[in-house]
Amino acid sequence: MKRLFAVALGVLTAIGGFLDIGDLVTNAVVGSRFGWSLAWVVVVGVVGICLFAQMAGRVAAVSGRATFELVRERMGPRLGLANLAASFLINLLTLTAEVGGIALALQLASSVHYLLWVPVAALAVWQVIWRVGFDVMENVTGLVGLLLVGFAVAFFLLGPDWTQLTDQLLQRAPHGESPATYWFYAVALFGAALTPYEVFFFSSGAVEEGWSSEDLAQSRLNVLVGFPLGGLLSLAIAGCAALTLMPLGVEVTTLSQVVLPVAEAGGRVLLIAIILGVVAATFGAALETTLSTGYTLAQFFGWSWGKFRAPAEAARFHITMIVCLLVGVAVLATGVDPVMVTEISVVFSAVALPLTYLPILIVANDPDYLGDQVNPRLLNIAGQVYFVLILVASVAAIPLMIVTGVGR
Amino acid sequence: MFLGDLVAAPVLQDGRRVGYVADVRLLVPPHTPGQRVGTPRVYGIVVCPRRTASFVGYERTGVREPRLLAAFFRWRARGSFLVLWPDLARVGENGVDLRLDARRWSADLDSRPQL
Repeated sequence: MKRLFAVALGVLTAIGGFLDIGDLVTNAVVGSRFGWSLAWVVVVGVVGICLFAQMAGRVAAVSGRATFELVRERMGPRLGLANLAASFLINLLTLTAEVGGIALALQLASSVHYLLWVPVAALAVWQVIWRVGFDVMENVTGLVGLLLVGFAVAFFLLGPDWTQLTDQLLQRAPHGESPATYWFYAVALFGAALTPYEVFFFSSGAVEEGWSSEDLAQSRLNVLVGFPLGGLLSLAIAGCAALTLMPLGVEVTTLSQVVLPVAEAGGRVLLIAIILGVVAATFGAALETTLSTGYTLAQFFGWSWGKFRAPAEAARFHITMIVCLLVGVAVLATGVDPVMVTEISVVFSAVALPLTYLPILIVANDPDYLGDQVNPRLLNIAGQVYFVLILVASVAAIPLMIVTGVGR
Repeated sequence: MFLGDLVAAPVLQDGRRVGYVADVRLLVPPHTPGQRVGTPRVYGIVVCPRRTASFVGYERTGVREPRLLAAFFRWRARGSFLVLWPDLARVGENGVDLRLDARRWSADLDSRPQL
């Protein structure tokens, strides 16, 4: 019974923790402009994050090494440092977007301007990291984040027109957008599903929770069941926007538009549930990205790290996180639109992805690290196909962003 | 001299450049007199004809997966060879000189998985 509970908890938190501000915004924007025409990207992205997280989790559980320890060991100091710089900056951008996301969600709930919520959100994130245990932090944000299932409820309450959605899915319905914008949003959606911090966090979390080879079955289940179900929620978000906003020609540019279809379909109760879910999801992701700033730097430079250590024993790790949170707050204080920051962060996520994917793929095949737990043949074929996809998305991202003027 | 100065330094033989130092191989003897553990010694240098970074671990003969990436990294490091330390004539600021009769060994490493 206890075992069953642990399995269920793992899967549920994986679903609730799957979505962050990047997924919420990008799926809604894409849904309102392209309907379900880009739903295939969500599927491709979810398979990718399953592959990637599964490999990173296995490497961490068997060898006890998290992502940036591997980057340092495998790529050498020079290439490793370039990798660190890129991954760290993009993670900082994602952190800024997530804190902005919490503030926007709290604005929806309170009508108090989001800029007033930004310092409150950042302080709360820091307090949780400073005081709360890793398991409690993960489970609470993951379970409350499950309220985002409300998007699926809203989707069905809206009475989806399946023939229309299928036509969009099979590219039979015109969406009136240029091919460049189509592919720009394909890359953005891919980057939103496969955000690098998810993997830094996943592999470091495995070390934090002291996983060993025996925990591999559980971790595989969490990933292979939880993430695809999280992906279905992404499709529901896009579907809601496709059903309500697309016919009116409304393009999503704010968080209130993301949740608008929910209010229309389910009224006040569902809206409250969704806003709570958005707060939990962005808060959870803000915790994860903040921790990831500490993880990446500390692992690369060989500092002691981890929430399982008292802050005094991992001082540089904690100072890194505090400084990064303050930088995020400072960026938001300029009044830059958090939704815009989010859109840019998912595109740059796609740019940086090969940098961390490649070392994980290589080390997942290294018997010196993994003994007989190296990748099986089929996984390697899929892993290499995805490497090509990730590389193409990475190279195409910036040109597409420039050509389309960030998708405008 | 630091090891870091040696890595990527140009390698000359008879005045001609034959490549760059891609890696430095160390040997850790089981015992050094008067110490609990052995002091590592430089055993040789790996010379790569091109200025490419490293083998990324694929110098170990037992690691051949994922196929395409392994093939790519081994191809990138093709023509690399190992020169033992006694075969170096001079190690200086501007690079490494090999003796004229320096022997070129395979850069492969036998790898036996051990955990």
